[in-house]
Amino acid sequence: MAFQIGGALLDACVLARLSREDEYGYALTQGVKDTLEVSESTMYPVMRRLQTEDCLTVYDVPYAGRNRRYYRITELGRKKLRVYIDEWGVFRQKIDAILKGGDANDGN
Amino acid sequence: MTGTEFTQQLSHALRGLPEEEIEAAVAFYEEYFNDAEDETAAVAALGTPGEAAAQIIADYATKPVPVAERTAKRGFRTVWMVLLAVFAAPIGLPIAIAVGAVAFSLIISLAAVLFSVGVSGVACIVAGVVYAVVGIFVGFQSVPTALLTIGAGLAATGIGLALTKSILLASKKCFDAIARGLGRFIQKHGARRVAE
Repeated sequence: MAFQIGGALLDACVLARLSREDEYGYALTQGVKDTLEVSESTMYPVMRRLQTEDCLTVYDVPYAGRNRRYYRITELGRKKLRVYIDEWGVFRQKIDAILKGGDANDGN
Repeated sequence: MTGTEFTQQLSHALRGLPEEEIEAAVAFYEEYFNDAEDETAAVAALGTPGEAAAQIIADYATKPVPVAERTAKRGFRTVWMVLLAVFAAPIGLPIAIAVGAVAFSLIISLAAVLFSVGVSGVACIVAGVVYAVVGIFVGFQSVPTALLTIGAGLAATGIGLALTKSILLASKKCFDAIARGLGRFIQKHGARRVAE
């Protein structure tokens, strides 16, 4: 993919996935990586930061004689995700207007 | 490299971070490798432990700090973290820093040499003038001694003036050259870094 993903967009994608279901580290990392071209090692810091910012909580589930740590989105995380989704809409319209021409207020 | 080797090297590369941060990262990657179908492939896909560590440290260092925690000690810690991250990063940055350090030390040593020669020049002028004046007074007793003294004094003054003048010219030339060189270097490498 020609476009670089990082920072807020990556945060938003992690929050969005977790808003649908709780996931454990490996599945979340691979899931995001399958859609976006990010290196695996960028994912842990994102999850850790969202956790320290109280956007995510973690809980352990016993699995195959060990624990799997699941990530769950918090109310604060959902709030942040809604802001991201709004801002993404505005951003996408502006980019569409430049790339495809026409009025920035067109479309949905 | 096995997952265990990766987490060991990661833990080593993260030393300096709070203990809980290191433990959390190691625990995450231990679980990560357990969940991966192919551990070796998962390790390879992550890159080196140093790169993974650099990302963790960079993220830790740049996350906003609550105002209450903004102390000098905390600030120093952050600078230290960033330095660690820089040296753990792929080679570009450390080399840039090394080049900068070499350039800086060259400038300092050049300045020291120029300064000491300049001081010698000024000393020659002062001593020469004193000699010449003393020579005039000696002239009342012994004309040959007076001529020798005055001659030596004037010669020293001349040498001093020549030294000082050429040192001033030389330093101007040197620093202009260094500034131009550095400018070109930064333009060439800095611009490319931004473009990446």
